[in-house]
Amino acid sequence: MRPPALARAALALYPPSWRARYGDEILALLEDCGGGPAAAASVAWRALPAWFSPPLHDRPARMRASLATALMSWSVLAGLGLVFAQLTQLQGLTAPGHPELRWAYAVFDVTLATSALVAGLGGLPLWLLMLRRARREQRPRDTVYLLLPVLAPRAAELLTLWPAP
Amino acid sequence: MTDRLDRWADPPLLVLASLADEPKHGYAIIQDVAETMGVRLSAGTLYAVIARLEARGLIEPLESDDRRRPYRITMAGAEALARQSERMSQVASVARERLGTRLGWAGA
Repeated sequence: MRPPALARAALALYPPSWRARYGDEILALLEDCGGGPAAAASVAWRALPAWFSPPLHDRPARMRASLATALMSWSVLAGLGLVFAQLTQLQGLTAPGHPELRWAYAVFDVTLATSALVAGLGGLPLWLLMLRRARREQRPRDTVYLLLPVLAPRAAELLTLWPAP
Repeated sequence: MTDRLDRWADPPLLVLASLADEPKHGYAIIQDVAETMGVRLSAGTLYAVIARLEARGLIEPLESDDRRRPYRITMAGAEALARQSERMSQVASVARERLGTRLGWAGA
């Protein structure tokens, strides 16, 4: 019996190394069990932790997991920081008589800028390597994804230049 | 409260116990655990547990031409299961004894 599309979609949420190692077994198990939304949900639910703990024997996958964890943690913290700044600093909310708050914001700004620089410079060689490989292996979709950080700001700039009707 | 007490049924322990007598593949483990231990493991939980136990060297996969790859418990897994079973046995023994004193429970 062929496993339902929902179960296969749930399996697609797992990291490639995990799918390569256990994917066929899970599909066979779902065929035996009859699948169903509950089975698919149980498989999908376990996908996120699988990204953080790929199979031990797969060293490149562990490297990817480490990088993904670091990047996701940094993005979440930086995003939360920016939201906090937007809600407070940029709205002009400063507690009178507490100048140290301004210092705290300055420290946050410097830390954010430094961490963004470190993340950018640290990831640049890896990004170039992946881009070169995607172009060499003629994978246009991956190339577009990798170019998004460059293309998206340009597109946003062009949109702001577009004359209003 | 009853649900919380059900946590003794730790999925890694159930899988190790299921593999203690002979190698089994995923579906056979689920069936065995449901029939002999009364716990229904989902496919997602089972393979998360299998990956964890394999990474810790407590179980190992066997060669198979079929997609249904069987797993067997390793010596380290058997020792870990024996230690945990001993602890659970002690807890069960104390619980039976005290329930027998307090409630006159026939199972003591």
